[in-house]
This record gives sequence, C-alpha cells and structure tokens, in this order.
Amino acid sequence: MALSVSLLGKTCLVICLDRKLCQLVAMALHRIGIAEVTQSDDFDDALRMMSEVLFDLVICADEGAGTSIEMVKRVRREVASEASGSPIICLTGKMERDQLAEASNAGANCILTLPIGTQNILKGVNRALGDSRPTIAHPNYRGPCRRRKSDAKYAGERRRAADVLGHATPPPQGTQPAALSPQRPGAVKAAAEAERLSEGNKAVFAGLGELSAAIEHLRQAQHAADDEPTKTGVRRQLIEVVMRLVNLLALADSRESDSAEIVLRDRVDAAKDAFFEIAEQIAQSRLKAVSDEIDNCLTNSKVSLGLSERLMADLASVEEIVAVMGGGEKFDGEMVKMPRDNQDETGATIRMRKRQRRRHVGKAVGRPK
Amino acid sequence: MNEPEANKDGYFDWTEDMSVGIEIIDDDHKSFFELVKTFSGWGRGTASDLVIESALLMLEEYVGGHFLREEKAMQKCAYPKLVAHTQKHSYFRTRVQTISALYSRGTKSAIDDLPVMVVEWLKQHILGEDVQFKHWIRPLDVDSRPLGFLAMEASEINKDGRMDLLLP
Repeated sequence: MALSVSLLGKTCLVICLDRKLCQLVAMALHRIGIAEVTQSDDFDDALRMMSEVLFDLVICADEGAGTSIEMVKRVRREVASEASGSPIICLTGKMERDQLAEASNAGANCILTLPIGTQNILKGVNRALGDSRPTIAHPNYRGPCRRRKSDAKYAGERRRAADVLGHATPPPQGTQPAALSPQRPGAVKAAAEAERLSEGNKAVFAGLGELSAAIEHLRQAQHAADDEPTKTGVRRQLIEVVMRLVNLLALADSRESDSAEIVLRDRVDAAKDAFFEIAEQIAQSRLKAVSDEIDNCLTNSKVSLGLSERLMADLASVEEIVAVMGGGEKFDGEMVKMPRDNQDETGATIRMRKRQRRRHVGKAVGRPK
Repeated sequence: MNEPEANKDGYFDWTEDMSVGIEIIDDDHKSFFELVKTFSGWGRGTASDLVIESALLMLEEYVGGHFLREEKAMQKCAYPKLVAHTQKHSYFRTRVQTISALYSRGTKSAIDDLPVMVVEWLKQHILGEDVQFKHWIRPLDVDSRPLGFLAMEASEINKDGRMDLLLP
C-alpha cells in the first residue's frame, strides 16, 4: 500500500474508556511508526489535553457505536481551539448503516470497526491524515467538508459563514461541494430557468416536464406488461398523454429573439424528439405485428377467427399515430422507411426531417377530429 | 509446590540475552512480548470477544510481518540455514492461525494457554535459532520499515501463496 502521508513525527491521542482496547490501539499505532501516542480513558481529561496540545490525529474508540460517535461529536463541538478540526478516526464495534451516516455527520474523517489490527489501523490513519477536505466550522456541523459536487448554476441559499463573507471555499481537488438545497439538482436548475420565462410559457414548461415523465412511466409499464388487456389499456393512456403533449407543444410560444425563451424552446424540442421516437417505435411495432400476422396466414394457409379485427385495430392505431405526426401524405411513404433505418441518410437530412415533423405536429393539432 | 513459570515476575519480558544484534529485529521481539504480556494480564471473561479477536489479529500480523523481515534478510545475505529457519517460522505461524481460527469459531478455551505457548516458543526460537544469524545478517540487509508495513506485505504474499518463493 502506498502511504500518502508520512507518519514520522506524528502525534496521536487515543480516547477509549476500555483500557484493554486503548492499549491495543496504542500498540498498533506504534507498530506502524507513530511513536508518540497518548492514551486517555477519561473523556473530560482528553478534551482538556486537546485544548492544550495539538495532536495530529485523534482516535475515538469504543465498542459501542453510540459512545464512539458521541465522543466524536463532543470533540468537534467542545474543544475550543483549532484542535477541534484535527483528523478523527471513529473506531467502534458493530455499526448499523444509519450509524455510519451518523458518524460521518458527527465529523469523523474515517470510520473503522473491530477487530482491529495493524493493517486496518494503517489504512485508517492514512485515510484520515490524507483527508484533504477543508474543515467546516458551522453551528450545525463541524468536521470535514462533505459536499460532493459543485453546481455552477446553483442559485439557492448559501449558509456558510465563508460564503456570506465572500470567501467561499473552493471545492477541494477530487471532491466538490454539494448543493445545500434539498431539491434534486435537475429540479433546481429547471426552477431557475422557469423563473426567467413569461407567465404563459411557465405553464408550458411545467406541463412539458410532467407529461414527459408520464410518457416515460407508461412506456416502462408497456414493456413490463405481459397480457394483452393491460398492454391495450397502457397503450390507450399513452396515446392520450401524447395527444396532450401535442396540444401543449402547439401552445408553446417560442420567441426566438428572447434569449430566456430559448431555454423553453430547447425543452420543447427535446420533448418533441422524445415524442416522435415513441410514436415511431409504436407505429413500427404495430406494422411489424400486422406483417407477421399476414405472413403467418399466407404460410400456413390459415385465418383464425377475429384476425381481421385485430389487424384492423393495429392498422387503425398506426393511422392515428401518422395523423398525429402530420399525416401519411406528408411523409410520402417514409413512415415505412424511417430515417434511422436508412444508413445513407446524412445527419443534416435527418435534422431536416425532424424539423419538418415538428412543424407538422403543430398543424395537426388544428385538424378536426 | 513450585510456582508456575508464567506467574513469576519477568516471565513475559524480553531480556538482553535475547538480542540478535539488529535493533529492528530486537524491537520486533520486544513487541511480541509486550503484546503477549498485555494479553495475559486480562483475566478470563474480562475482555470482550472483539477485543480478544483484535489481539489475536495483531499477533498474527506481528508473526507474519516479523517472520517476513527475518526471511528477507536471511535470503539477502545467503544465510545457509534459511530453509530450516523458514520451516520453523511456518510451523509457528500455522499454530497461531489455527488458534485464532478456533477462537473465532467459538472455541473460547483455545486461547487459554496461548500466552505461555507464544513466550515459550519465542524464547526457544530466539535463543536457539535467531542468535545463530547474529553474525550473518547486517543491519543493511534488514527491511527497516515499521512492522505494520511488513505485516501488510506478508499478507499480500500469503494471498498469492508466494511465501514459499522466499525459499531458494
């Protein structure tokens, strides 16, 4: 194992109420090269020592996870000096998953569980001393920075004192601060973008998100369904949602000159592309089903009862999709030959066809049923 | 009635006559005695299973790391009794691992005689075998890293089954 931090000259305080465990931990530390190890089985005495002496590392050890976590919390909160920011290893016995989070939230740099030996002590010490995260000192949390990612577009509240003073700590290398908002990053971004839109388009923006999610949900349901009545019901709902999406797209007022509306236009285009993709898939699968049935009839010279109704229903759904997408005559028979199936199609040609279809959708909405 | 050896003062202490002339190897031997002395001082039932398992784990690591240090040094200086010495290491290593495994599986009495067994074996081995390479191994031949690092390396070698590769 490559040791990222030199242990030469490091000092360590081991706080452990169990004298035997304390001795073992101290011995393990000696065997990995940390010569100066101070042991304390009295917590208040340990806190006093930390206020007077700056230790390079503190180990809070107890078989009970609750006790060791509490020790970590108290070290972070009650030590009134820069020592409160020293790297801390929380060493404990069995730990539940929520206790693991609790230990991290208490400000532990590293968590180790018994049984302990020289190898895992060495790894833990290396991890704790090599922790490059800045130390946060806030009334609600003291310990290593636990932000995971930075969001340059985050426009929510910043609660750290350093942010308020204008000395925002840059994210350390390899880690990035996480957004403080409890919302998902995507939702935060969407909300920020929607704020800049006109009132009418705000409604469209919100509606697009809901309908896109509904379409995706129904698609998954359709794939998961294994009986025909369920598939039929899901298909009906899907077409209904798609029709609502088409109406919504027609309402979208894309004012190209306003840069803020471009955000909406991008979302509209993305929704349309998703819609067309679904529609093409449904139409293709329907046509294939019809073709397979007819081939079966011709091969076996058999026509089962009810086949014609089934075929009519499938073709009718294909026609419905074609109508929504702008009518079969506009495609000049290209419903059968999809752009993606044609390997000779250039990217520019495909983009042109996509633009044609978007315009047709807008016009199709105005057609009488 | 004669008092058991283990109860006598200094039974678990390293003594100067056990020195092999290499400070780092002497330190390793002292560590063994220190660990076993600490362990033997725990009355039955006074230490939890996790603490005892930690002590056993550390003993295994000490054994692995220290034996690796010696074997690397003996190989480097072409010590003629390397094979026999290594076999003795292997025997003791297996004994310690077996006792540790028995304890972990529930045979709590497996560790009752462990401190005495370790000390007796160490004393016999140091005074009978290790002192023989006193005039072969030079300090420069010895990997002087802390024991924990050697233990980690030994663990890696054991995983690959390459421990026997140390034999010529």
